[in-house]
Amino acid sequence: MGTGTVNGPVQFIPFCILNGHTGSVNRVKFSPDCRFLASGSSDATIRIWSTIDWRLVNILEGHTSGISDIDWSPNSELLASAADDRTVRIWSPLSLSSQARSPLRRTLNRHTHHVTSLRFNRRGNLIVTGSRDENIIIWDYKHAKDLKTLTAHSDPISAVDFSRDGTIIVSGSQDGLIRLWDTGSGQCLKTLVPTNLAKGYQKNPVMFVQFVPNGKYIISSTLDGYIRLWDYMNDKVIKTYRGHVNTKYSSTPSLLNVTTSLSTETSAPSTPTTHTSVANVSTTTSYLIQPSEDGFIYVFDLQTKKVVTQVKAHTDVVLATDVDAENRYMASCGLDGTVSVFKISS
Amino acid sequence: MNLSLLDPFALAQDYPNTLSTTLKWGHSSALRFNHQGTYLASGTIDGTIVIFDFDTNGVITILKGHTRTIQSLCWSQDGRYLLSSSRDWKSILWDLKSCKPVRTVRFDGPVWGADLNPNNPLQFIVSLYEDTPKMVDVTEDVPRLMTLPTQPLRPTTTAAPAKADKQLTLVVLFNKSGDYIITGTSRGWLNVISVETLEIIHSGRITTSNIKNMKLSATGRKVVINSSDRIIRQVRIPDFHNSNPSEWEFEVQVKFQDVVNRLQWNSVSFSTSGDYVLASTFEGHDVYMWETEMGSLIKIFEGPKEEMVEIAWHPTKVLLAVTGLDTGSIYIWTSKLPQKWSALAPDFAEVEENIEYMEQEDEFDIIDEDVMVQRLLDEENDEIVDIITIEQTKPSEAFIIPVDLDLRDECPESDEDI
Repeated sequence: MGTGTVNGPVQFIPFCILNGHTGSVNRVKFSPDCRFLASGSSDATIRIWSTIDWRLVNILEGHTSGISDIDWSPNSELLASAADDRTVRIWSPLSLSSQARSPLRRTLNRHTHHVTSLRFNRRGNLIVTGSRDENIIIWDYKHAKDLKTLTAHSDPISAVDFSRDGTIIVSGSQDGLIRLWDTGSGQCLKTLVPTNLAKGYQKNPVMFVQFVPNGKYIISSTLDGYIRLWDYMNDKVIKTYRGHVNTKYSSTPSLLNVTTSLSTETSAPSTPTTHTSVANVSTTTSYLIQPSEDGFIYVFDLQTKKVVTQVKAHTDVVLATDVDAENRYMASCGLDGTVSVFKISS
Repeated sequence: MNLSLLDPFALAQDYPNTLSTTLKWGHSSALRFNHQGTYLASGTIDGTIVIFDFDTNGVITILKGHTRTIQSLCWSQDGRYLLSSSRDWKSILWDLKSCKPVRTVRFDGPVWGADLNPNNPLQFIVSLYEDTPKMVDVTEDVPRLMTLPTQPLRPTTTAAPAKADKQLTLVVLFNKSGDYIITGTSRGWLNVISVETLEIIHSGRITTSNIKNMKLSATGRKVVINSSDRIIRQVRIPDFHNSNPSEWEFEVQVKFQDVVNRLQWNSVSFSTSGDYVLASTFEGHDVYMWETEMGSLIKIFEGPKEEMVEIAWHPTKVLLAVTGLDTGSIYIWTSKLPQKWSALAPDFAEVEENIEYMEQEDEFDIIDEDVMVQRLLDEENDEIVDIITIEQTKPSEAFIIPVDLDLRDECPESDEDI
């Protein structure tokens, strides 16, 4: 992850605003090769932007209602979108509609209500989707076949994610539960229940869940306004973060890992013993970049749980953030229909 | 990653119990999982090779290059290359990145079997129909063929072999480190050939009849040998590296056979752990499984109503794949366990027997919300969490065959009934 070297606290410098969507922009996502940014909107289109000159490269049209979630395949060649028209579509995001081959490659049709969330696994051969129909479906998207339907939530699914090795699926639902599933068998492995820290014994709808990059923890956000870091093996919340506003929307945070290299040039001369390592000492600081309903983006230090900085990003509710794999840019989107791009620096 | 959350009883189950899936694409004649167990390659009688993605059970790619029955398939360690051998006198080394042949080697007769050097995917050995076995080096564009010896080394005291003693090499295998070759002949001899010198450095006779097939266990310490005398033998491989060839001995550890019906066996295989030996029965519908310590029969997999041929055990999962002789389908046995319902309801636990429940003093107290919130927040600790470092897992990650959405992978209907 963290390849950029930053000294001092991280800063987000406004870089550009991408206009064009005619509805709320619900999700932004950089391609894994960092060459493109995709944005999915309630205007039923996906726009692909170049990260070199920030020009619009392509518009993917075909969905008949708003798009809730998008994800790139790990090799950056395909884009999947989940929409309120109950379908999941797979696109070749760079094929133009004017060309002989349509950019739309597959339509996955099985959900009976809005599809709210989707993810590719890291091997790029499966997609998992969650829907307002309370079901989770694992797809063989190549053959447009639903392999397994996981039915154990009793309210709309708000988010799904694969673990790093693809063997576990996590799902969050408005029924207030986080469930972990075995991808191979489709069986529920475990259930986590976040207590409502604002309203005591009431149900606490889960609006977002995802695994951290190494798959050892789960991040969840709930409508009590807390983000939690779960040690899911031991059913324990190990960190909570709050400060941002989250009362209604499902918003997608992102993680930024900044590696700071401490140069050893000025340190004491190395001793001739073979045991001493004189390699550069580097520390990695992880940040949680959380959209907020007050138009700001809150940046938490993952370890200290403190808000490091607040960034004014939009005039209305912020819905999602994303950071490219090279840690150069952070993008956000929201109800005001724009995509904001920030340069990350020290 | 899911292992630590799975039901321990599910993990203790080390052989499959139910016939769960049937894969059908053409008429399968050869079967092999890649070393990580993410793909299953199936060779068909018309020479097409189909690779199934084991996450989806769907076809990921189709390789066309052979024109007759595929005899054997062999994956490189990283899963990027596949060696196929066929009765059309050819062996093809495929690069699965492009799904195209990298090297095609033509022999002077049908290929019986082949094995890829575990350390070098550009080197392989073949056994040929009524011909001498060959070692093939395809580092250069033009393959280099080297003939491997077949006549066993015998003690000099015994008389020179009679003419009738002429024999052929039927099966070839690399050892685990890829520096020795083990071959089996039509007269029951095992030869060890050094890859360096290509000379037989040790021979041993374990039977008097044909060695039909031979599989190395995952640890490389033993082979299971199927011969025409209806006996399956588990043979210990001597330590090639730390002992002198004169001390080597092929010790038959266990013999497996059906003494009542005197069954012939089509094909044999180890389970991944090496704890079980499996064999498909000639003119029967069953697959037998024995444990390898005492040789006792553990289970008979009663197949569908056809003869079972090729056997492949999944490298990581408890899963068995077997091909059928008549339909060419691939039958898959897995181990299925019921959903643990306590996983769905975190407040509950499954107990073996009833427990007298003792209520805690404050258990059902209604706590003030603020106090409860504070108590929960206090439970957190300020440990540093590492969200980046990835734990190295075994087996290493397999090469990923690119998903090609343009590939038409339906099986042509005409292939169905030949």
